Amino acid sequence: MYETTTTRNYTLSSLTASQKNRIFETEFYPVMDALYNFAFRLTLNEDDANDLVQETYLKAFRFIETYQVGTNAKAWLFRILKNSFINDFRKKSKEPDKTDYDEVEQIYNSEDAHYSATVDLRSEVFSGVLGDELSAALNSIPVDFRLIILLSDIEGFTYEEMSKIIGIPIGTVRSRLHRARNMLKDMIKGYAQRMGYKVDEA
Amino acid sequence: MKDNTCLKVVDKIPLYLDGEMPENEIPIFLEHVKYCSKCMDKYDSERTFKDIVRERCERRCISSSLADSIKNRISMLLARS
Repeated sequence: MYETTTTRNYTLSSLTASQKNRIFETEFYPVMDALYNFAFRLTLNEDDANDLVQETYLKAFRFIETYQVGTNAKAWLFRILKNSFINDFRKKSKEPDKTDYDEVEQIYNSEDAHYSATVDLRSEVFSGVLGDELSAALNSIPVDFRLIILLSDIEGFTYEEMSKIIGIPIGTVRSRLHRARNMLKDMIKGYAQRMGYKVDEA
Repeated sequence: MKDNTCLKVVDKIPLYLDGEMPENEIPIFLEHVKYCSKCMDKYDSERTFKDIVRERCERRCISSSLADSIKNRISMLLARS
């Protein structure tokens, strides 16, 4: 599950407790806030976010031998958290089944190559949006799409990192991100219209 | 012909802003955006959008009590291992 592609230069269970402690202190703990923010944005609930972050660190302890010291700890932990979220939280959430999104995505990809079919808004419209409105808009889009915006625009992961974290090909990362951004722009457009902005391209 | 170029450039704006554009394509891309006002507008719009998502979404921080409790738990597990 947490396999790595490169060869480890140590055998299993070769890390001492103090080495493990050092990994937690220098690589895992510094991303705690980022993990919490990600968890909260996924679950939209403080208790669930707390549980997810705690579970992520316990799993990090359990699987620490599969972590390559000095590699991308943040991406590794985000992947664990995302998998826990899928396994534990999505099952009991009321959001439609994942297959629904897969179907949407397939339809979307089949008409692909039309990246230019974007929601066009003048940049002033974006500039006028308040943080609260933006947060509400982001929270309201389906979780698969919210997740990719969080990883890309909030956390700054590369397409390749996101591909590994989510477990989808890079091409799908790109198309899903495009779709997610359009959804978010649509929400902002609706908000701007209600506020009386002139939203269309001049 | 020109429209076709614009279409391709517009498709690639997110790639550029996401830092995923291959190095060798960057100069041609920027050259076009600089001189084509339509593409420049789209570029501005996309960049502003990406900026505000990053800057204006409130970031939640973990409570210090949970952070401490996680660290204590890991310390206990480490002591036992």
